[in-house]
Amino acid sequence: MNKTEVVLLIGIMAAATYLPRMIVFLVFSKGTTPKWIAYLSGVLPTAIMGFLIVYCLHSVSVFTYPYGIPEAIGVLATVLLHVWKRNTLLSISLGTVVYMIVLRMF
Amino acid sequence: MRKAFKAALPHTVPVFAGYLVLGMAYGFLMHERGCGLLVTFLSSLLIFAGSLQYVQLDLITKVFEPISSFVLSLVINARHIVYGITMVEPYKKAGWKKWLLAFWMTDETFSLHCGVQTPEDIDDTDFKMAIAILDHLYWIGATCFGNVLGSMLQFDTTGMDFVLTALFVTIFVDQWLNSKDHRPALVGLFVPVVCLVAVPDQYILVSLVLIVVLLLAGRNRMGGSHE
Repeated sequence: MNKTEVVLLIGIMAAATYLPRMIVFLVFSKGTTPKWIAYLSGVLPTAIMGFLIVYCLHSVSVFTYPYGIPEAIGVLATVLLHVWKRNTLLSISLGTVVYMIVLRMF
Repeated sequence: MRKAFKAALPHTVPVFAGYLVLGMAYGFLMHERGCGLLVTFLSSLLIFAGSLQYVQLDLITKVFEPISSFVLSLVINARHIVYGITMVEPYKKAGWKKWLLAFWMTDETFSLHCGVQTPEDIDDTDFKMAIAILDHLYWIGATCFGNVLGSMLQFDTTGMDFVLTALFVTIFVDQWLNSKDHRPALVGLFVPVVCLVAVPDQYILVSLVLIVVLLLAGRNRMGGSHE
């Protein structure tokens, strides 16, 4: 991506950020919210997090060395830490440190 | 308004700590991708959405695809619709300022607006505005600081972009532990994996559409607790 495209991307992402944040105030400030919208905004966040995890790891090849093992260990460390301590910052920082260390051992 | 800032400040300390880590990492990685202070500042000022800016880090390294970037960003931010639904009533008394409050409605700011009681001697709108402004300033400050730091320090950052994966993993775990019905989470996890194998070039759009369709199809069975 060149510099112009980077700036365009910022504009696109800004628009896509404010549309969902404002749309409810634009559309439903007087009447009631349609059920299917309320339903989707309840279940979509959970599903999208799953998608985002896959999105982050999509370039990992499980068929060639090191078979995605560093990523698996990093994710596992993050999950275990988080289930144990429920501290987002701790899980993210230590999980990343574990991943960076494991990556250098392969 | 000054009183409102004073009262809001202590409540925003956890957000400050969180933004410092995530913001600095973002600024640092922006530097790695050849983006300087101005682009980092503009992104944090105009986009101001943590997870989206991490996705931006990835998109910057790829070919520019405006439509798929827009759709991806929209779907990632779709959760803010539910925040909006929650805040329609509380923001009503803010008048025209409700547009600013909606503008600033990140996950963290939203959680403070929901969770923190406004002190009795302070105007509710001023208090909410103060929280939102402080949070935005923390984010801009942390990302720019990280970006400058990146231009001064030289060390091997290979693997540091795992903070993004770790961020999503922790949110995923939180949501998993807080919900009884895990089907939406599983749909979100497995649909893109299948699409990645079946249609690797178009997997982002295809899997996002499929996820929405599947969730709507399972409407009567899934997520009943959210109504």
